[in-house]
Amino acid sequence: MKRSTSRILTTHAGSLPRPADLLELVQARADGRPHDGNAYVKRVRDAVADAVRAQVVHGLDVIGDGEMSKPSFITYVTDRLGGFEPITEPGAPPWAGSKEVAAFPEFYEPGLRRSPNAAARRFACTGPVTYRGHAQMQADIDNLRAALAGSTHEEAFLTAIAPSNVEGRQPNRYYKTDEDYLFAIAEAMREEYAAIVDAGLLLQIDDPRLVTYYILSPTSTVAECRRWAEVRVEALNHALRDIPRERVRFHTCYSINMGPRVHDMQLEDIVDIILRVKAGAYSFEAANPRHEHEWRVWKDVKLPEGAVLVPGVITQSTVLVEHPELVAQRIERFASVVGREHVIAGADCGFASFAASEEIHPSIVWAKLAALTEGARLASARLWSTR
Amino acid sequence: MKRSTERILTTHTGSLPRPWDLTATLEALDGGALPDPDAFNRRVRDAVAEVVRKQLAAGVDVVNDGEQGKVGYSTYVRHRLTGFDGSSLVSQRADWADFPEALARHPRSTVSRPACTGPIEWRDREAVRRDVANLQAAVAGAPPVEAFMTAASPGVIAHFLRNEHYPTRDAYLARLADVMKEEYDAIEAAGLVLQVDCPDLAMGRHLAFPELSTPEFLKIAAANVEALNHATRDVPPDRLRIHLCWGNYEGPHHRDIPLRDILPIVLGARATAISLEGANPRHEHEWAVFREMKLPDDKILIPGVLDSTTNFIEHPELVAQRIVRYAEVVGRERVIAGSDCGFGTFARSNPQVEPEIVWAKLTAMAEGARLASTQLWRSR
Repeated sequence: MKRSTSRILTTHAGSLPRPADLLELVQARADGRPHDGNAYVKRVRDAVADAVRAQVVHGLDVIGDGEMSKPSFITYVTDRLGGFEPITEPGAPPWAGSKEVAAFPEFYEPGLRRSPNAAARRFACTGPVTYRGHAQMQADIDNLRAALAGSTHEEAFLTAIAPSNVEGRQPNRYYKTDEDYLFAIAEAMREEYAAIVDAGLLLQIDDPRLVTYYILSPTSTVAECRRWAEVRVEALNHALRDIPRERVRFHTCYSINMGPRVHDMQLEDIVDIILRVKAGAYSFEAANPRHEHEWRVWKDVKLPEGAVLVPGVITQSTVLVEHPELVAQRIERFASVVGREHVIAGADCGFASFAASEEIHPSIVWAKLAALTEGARLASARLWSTR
Repeated sequence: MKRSTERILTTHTGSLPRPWDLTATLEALDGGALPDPDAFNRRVRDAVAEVVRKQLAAGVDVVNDGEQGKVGYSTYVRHRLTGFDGSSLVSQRADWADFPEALARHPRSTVSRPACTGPIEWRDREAVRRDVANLQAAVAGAPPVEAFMTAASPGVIAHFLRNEHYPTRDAYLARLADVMKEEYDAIEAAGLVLQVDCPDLAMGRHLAFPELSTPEFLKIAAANVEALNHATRDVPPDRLRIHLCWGNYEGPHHRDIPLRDILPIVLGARATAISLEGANPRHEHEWAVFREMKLPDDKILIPGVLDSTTNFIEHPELVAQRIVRYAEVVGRERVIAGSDCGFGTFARSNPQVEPEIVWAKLTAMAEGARLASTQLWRSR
């Protein structure tokens, strides 16, 4: 994994806005509606090429495919796993019954009804979990590699979902215990993780549930959630067991974009468990009013040898385009705590984590990414000037 | 004016959530309806009493009437003055104009903006006296650290309500200054700190004059400050604070004029205290400007530590970090914690920030100020 050895490198959290016509094809596919399969394949390939070009033009260093082929960072996986069947009972909106919605019902309820997450098709586990997504995975790898050919960039990554998020979204109707189910998923997902790393790409593990589990239950305590999280990290590490940690970056986030968010698990309550993930880099939210102050937490934490932090220095949580000077200040705060070589500037979360979620218009997303790279240049100039 | 001599004091920009029924009445008033004056005045008085109670409960030190009886912090003057009629062209916002497709998703709600079409005179001198009496009654039972009242600057009135009557912009400003002086003096005479709202000095750049060069805009801003200083000549600087902001809306804001560019002109205002945005992603970094440009010894800052365009409730630790950054540059006694802008800039039924969340944000500010005070008064 590249480090910020001579300047601050930049990246983002994975998903980027999809073009409208691709969005239609991706949605049709996800909903099980008839669509032109060849058109989908070609449109994804072109969209990945465009996304890569745009990332390079905007000066991003560690780039991805923007998750163009996927309906979301989480639901894509049922298409790639055996053992799941569609279910008809509607899923509850993801935050219904959470600590947050209970505290601010008037604020959250209108938004819950519009959530693309709530509208997505549901599946349940009804048989042994197996990996059968090799063709889709290979297409993602091929598309990204083709797009990267001849482009200027430092490194490239693909995202994959963590086992516990598969466990959380799809009810278990087959395995005896939650843990049996979780570890079966881990064993299957291991194939996807290995495929990404074997292709020479960085693997980004997306694991929002590790921190949102606390918010979701109305009554859970931090201690209970920590015990739960320890087992989930164990399962993830089981899936990562043969992969050098150098090739893995771990991303967690809170999934609620805009809201009071007073129940977000605090970093200090979970950071030690996050760092048990066998990864070389850790990506997390640090650019919104609920987590911006947490750069200080890293003062008291010992990082695994050589580990890199990828704090969000821009956010999907506001339309305002971060001032490059603010981006630079945020980067410098992290650099002051863990050292400049251990910081890569990132985003709080994806800008289209569900294909249909477009809280921030694409034109503004790109203005934010431009502010990110400009801010990294300002920070680099200062961080490398005095030494 | 009270300063943060023993701990960091807290305040806010001015407007606060209004009860839904009062909002409806004000929206109707803005649309041309004439509510029953006695019932309206009673409703406003009760709302002011309630909003003062809530500020104290949230831990706000320097409180006001939350602008409960005003349709908008700037356009309210049309109900008090003669000479306003018809409508002003609402200018395009230069930042949104750069993102036309995104703009289509953010419909804009506007309040009525008449133009100045005739001589400006006082029509309702009693309005400010009612405001003052309401606030004084509300604070009588449980006196806060201090109380303030907002009024529109000549420059911001000229920004929203276009001149179609006076021969020049300067003549229009001069008339507004002469007339508004009475309101400013009335507020000061009542023993309240006067806050004059001057977004024209910042927001005016990209909303009203995007086509001008920066030096040309600064000339306009300087004229606005001159009008402000003339109008407040009888208010002691120590009883005066000004508020500047770049437009209280969730937009790209990438065209906001940097604080660095306008600060020399802002510092020319007679006011002791300057309230300015310090929390949102376009201005949060600007505490550092005061490392390069010295704040004169007699001035104090009221930086926003709450972003008024987001429903996030700021973490108290973040509030504390923001306060400490300013305090380390200008000194703890010269910082009062505030909000970027108002939470009910214009009375409307779909506010940017939900009322229940506004109160939680103000509570987070007070908590953050306590954390910062502990830190700032411990080590010395």
